[in-house]
Amino acid sequence: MFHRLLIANRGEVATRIARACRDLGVEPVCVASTADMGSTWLEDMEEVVCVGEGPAAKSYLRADRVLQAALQTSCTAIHPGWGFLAEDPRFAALCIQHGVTFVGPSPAVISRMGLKSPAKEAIRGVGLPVIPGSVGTLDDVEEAVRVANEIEYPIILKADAGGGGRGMRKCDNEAELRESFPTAMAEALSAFGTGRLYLEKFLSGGRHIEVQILVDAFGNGVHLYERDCSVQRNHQKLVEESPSPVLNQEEREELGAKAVAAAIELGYRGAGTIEFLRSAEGELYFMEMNTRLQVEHPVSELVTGIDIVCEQLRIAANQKLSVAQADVELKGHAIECRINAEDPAANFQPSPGKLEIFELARGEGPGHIRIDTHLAVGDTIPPYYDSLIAKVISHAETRELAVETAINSLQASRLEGVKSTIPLHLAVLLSREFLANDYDTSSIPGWTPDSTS
Amino acid sequence: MNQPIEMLVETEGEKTYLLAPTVGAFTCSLPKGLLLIPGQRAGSLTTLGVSHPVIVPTGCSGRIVSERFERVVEPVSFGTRLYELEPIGEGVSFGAAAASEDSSADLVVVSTHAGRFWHRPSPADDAFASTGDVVEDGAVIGLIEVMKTFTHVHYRATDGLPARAKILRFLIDDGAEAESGAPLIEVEPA
Amino acid sequence: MAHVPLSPIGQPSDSALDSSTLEKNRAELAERETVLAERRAIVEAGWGEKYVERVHQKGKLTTRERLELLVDEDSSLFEVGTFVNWGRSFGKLASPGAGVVTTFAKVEGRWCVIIANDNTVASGSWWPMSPEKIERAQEMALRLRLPVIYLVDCSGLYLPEQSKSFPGRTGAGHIFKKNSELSAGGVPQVAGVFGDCIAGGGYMPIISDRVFMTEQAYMVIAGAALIKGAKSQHLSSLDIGGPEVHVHLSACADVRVPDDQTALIQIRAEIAKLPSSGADYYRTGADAHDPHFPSREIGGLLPSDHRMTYDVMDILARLVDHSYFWEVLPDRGREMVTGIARVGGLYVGFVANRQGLVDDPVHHDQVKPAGILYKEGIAKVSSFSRACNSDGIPIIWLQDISGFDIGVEAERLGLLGYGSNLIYTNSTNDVPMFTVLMRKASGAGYYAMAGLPYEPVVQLSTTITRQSVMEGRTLAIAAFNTKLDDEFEIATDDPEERAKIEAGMQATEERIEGDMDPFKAAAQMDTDEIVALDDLRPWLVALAEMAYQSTGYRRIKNPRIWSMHDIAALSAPRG
Repeated sequence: MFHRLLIANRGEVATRIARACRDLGVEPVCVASTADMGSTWLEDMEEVVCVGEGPAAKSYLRADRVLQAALQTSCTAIHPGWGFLAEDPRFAALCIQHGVTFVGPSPAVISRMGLKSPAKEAIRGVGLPVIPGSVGTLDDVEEAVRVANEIEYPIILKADAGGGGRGMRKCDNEAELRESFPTAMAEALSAFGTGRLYLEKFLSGGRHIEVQILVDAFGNGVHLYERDCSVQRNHQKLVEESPSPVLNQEEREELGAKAVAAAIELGYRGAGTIEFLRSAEGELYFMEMNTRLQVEHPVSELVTGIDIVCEQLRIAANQKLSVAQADVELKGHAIECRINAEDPAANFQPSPGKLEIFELARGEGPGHIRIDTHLAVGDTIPPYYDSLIAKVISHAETRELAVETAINSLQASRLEGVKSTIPLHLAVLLSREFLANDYDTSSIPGWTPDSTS
Repeated sequence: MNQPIEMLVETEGEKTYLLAPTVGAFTCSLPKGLLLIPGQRAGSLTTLGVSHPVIVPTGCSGRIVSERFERVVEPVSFGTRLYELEPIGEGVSFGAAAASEDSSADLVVVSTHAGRFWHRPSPADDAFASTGDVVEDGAVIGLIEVMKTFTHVHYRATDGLPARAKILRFLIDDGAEAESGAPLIEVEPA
Repeated sequence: MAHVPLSPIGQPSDSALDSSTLEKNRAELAERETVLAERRAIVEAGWGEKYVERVHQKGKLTTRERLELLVDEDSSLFEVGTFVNWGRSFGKLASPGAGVVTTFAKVEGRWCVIIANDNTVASGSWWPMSPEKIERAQEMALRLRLPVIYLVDCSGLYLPEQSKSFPGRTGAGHIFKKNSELSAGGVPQVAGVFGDCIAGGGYMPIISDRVFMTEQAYMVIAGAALIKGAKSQHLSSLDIGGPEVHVHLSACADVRVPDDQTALIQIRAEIAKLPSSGADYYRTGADAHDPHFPSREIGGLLPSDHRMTYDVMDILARLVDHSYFWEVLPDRGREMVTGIARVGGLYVGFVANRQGLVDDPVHHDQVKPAGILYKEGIAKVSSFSRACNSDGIPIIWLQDISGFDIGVEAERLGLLGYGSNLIYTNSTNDVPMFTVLMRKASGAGYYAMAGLPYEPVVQLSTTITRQSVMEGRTLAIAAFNTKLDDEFEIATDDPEERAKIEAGMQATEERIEGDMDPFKAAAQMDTDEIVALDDLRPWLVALAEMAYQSTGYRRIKNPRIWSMHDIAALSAPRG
């Protein structure tokens, strides 16, 4: 096992990785921008290396400085967290070249799964269902029209190198497609550096279901069942849970088995998530694969009892998986709320500032609460990065009890100094729609833009 | 050698600190007691095996009062203090007043070499840049002909020039000879 | 440390140049590369449709069709010598590609050299330069220990020109000497005979390890036309030397197959028995990866006008994996770039010429033009070349060089001596070396940078290559020196004389410009191939894989113990 590991990230995920490091006897070292120096989460680090000024492009994205920091502090591994350099195959290759283990799959796999259409083709190749659409990227608008006619409108044009919901255009007919094509190409080129587009059938009203997998360097893999992340706003997840209330046990085992088999076939290594869209008719389609740790990993950890980050480190250290699929059992239900410093009443405007009061309630019951945060009372949230304050995760025997536990905790929590999304989360958890599973990705249960807290 | 990089400056009252501008191995440092002037080479920083000379930034000077690091090659972070300087003395300054941020007087792009300066790629083409254009660091503003070869001249936001600049006027004609350091273009912050 | 410290190089093309210059470069290049593509198509068409038809009527495939079936689906052809004999005619006849196709390609995942007579050109016969072209391909195979596949369909020498192709040191007979050298060197050779294989041509398959004959193939020392009594006995060459004779009776061939297609399948199966490529073993845990900056941008960044400068690091960045590079000895000899990168995941050394201006190492605050060799640059390249040879790192020489420094100081510094050491080093290296004449390839600089006289395994030109002893203007200055002043301006006031001298100098310049035409060089085999800039990266990946395919014949040190690390350790700043 590595003696020292560099965390190439900040905030909540840095705290999380440091905790796993300490659990395994690994010393965590962390990079920080000038804006983050002195922050609460850095207190737990063995060493901190400042890598540049506040804006991510001047610090956390400086691959050369981040790797140099690892080399200078005798770190033999780097954990990239999520975002920043986590899915940059060029960075992964640089680490390997300099003898520092990159916690994640190989650069070739990251590359392949990072572009949407090669990933789709790879997945199609290993037998998982994909959303009907173009094979590879589109050569021109004529090909787009041909494919669209085959699969039937409405369709959605997507950027091959896109993500985060950007670079997508829905088209209801041929005229719209012809009009949107050149604009979508130009947008993709300027946002992602390449104008390659592909096309899919537009499916609305679906559920976002993703499977957590772990594969070691020897081709052994397990899945940790699925998460349901259908409560979203602008493709940003707000509430995640495990297991998914819309799958039965047979379905989830089949999906999980297929997902892990696909990952192994692709030469995957490490922790990863395969995301699916489940249509209103119950059909499951592959969306994309994330070759990194995900924000919502705690729900899977709570229901399976497996520490995903520790497993990442073990896999990176060439250890065999310590669990077999038979050892993975679902116990209870977990729900996570991402508490962001945003004002839901003001169109989710970011609300940076100082946490004057910061009390997240833990002991209300009936189930138990896990809180993942990097902040303490008195901390200021800088404007350069994401607005996550904390993740509040409830775990109980049933979904209803998990919902109740989450509500009790949020109602008893106090957060002042910045606006937060707690009112939104409460509205969702208290809504009839959420409890009855009567919602999909197209709307937030219990909430509309003109709701107030 | 590779492009020199300027150290960062931090002032605390009378004291000036020169800071590492990146993460790397610092070496070839100068000893206590020496005088530093703007542009002077004061060591070398190596990141991933690539070394750059570090230089004293414009408008900064002083006498080194800090001891050298104990190690010949010292790993440093962004912002690590490399030197502590004290002022040299009354009335002695090396262009300390030169780079004042809100002074818009005399922001001039100068020629890095002697040669013939051309405004356009060829007689038939449009000029690379014209009066009124806004240019950013890296933009091509002309061509310089030296010993029968032609090199593109890029706008660089160094030596006090702003990251975004509006071209006020050209100070040299198309095709005229320029000495090294000759003024080429007058700009203002955009 | 024993790591190979690659780090990012290069910048986005829109930071390097403004968009109108990028477009202009691309447009000028496109003009030339269109000509290249057109001429390539002409050569590939052989003697044309009529002859293609003739081949088909005999129930045979054309050479190009055979290649398509032979070569792996995911492999392109990397041809050399396409333009040998370009622009040359023999009476009224042309010999496109000298009547033979010589190419690198992958067969069953192994890079091979394929030598295939073009049966649409005078029934595949050998013209002047055909033997030299074949021998060059064999030499490449020998140097890299790549299996050779002969697709034989050759009616012997094109007799009217026999005096130029038969007797000489590099005449047709030398092909069989090379066959022998390949065999003695342990290089597998497999031959398919698809038709004629007459006279001297007969020896080529026999020396090969495994020979397949179709039912239409025959091998004879002399054809039926020269055998007394053949007419009255109604004996054809097929009767005399067909598969019936050679597969069964004489054992000069091994396997008899009904047709072209079957022969090709069998040849593939034969190649599949050979050791697989060592390339993946030598990737030392990395994967092949495209450059981070797209290689198709090279065309916009490399100006056709040789007086225009550019940043060579931007070009290198678009040729190497991830755009990562380890520049070795960066602080000395700034006019040269030496360093290591991965190409297709495999370590390769690069030597390239900086362009523009570099600091003068002799005078403070002065600059000197790059694209020229000065003392430090020569010494650096020499050391680098020796280290690569010692370490078994194949070297790619990217030439854009005007020559050596000249003048009083240059001579006193002993550039002749330093240059000679570099030449000695390159002449005695046994690591594979590949040369690309990117743009200027002038005089002693062309020699110093491992030009063809120094026998790199392959030399490639581009459509903007300028290959000559010196630039036209320089030659004109030398020729008319007595009429010029100190600044090389015409030293006369007489307008008539001035006009005469100007005209004379102009004519001299134009003649050299004509000599510099890459097609002229390619026709004479002064370069191996002309490539489009978009094809350069795929070529380099192919060459790297070829250099690491065969094991056991050349030194390949593991990177931990490279001599290169000694150089870096001794030149790292400290103190």
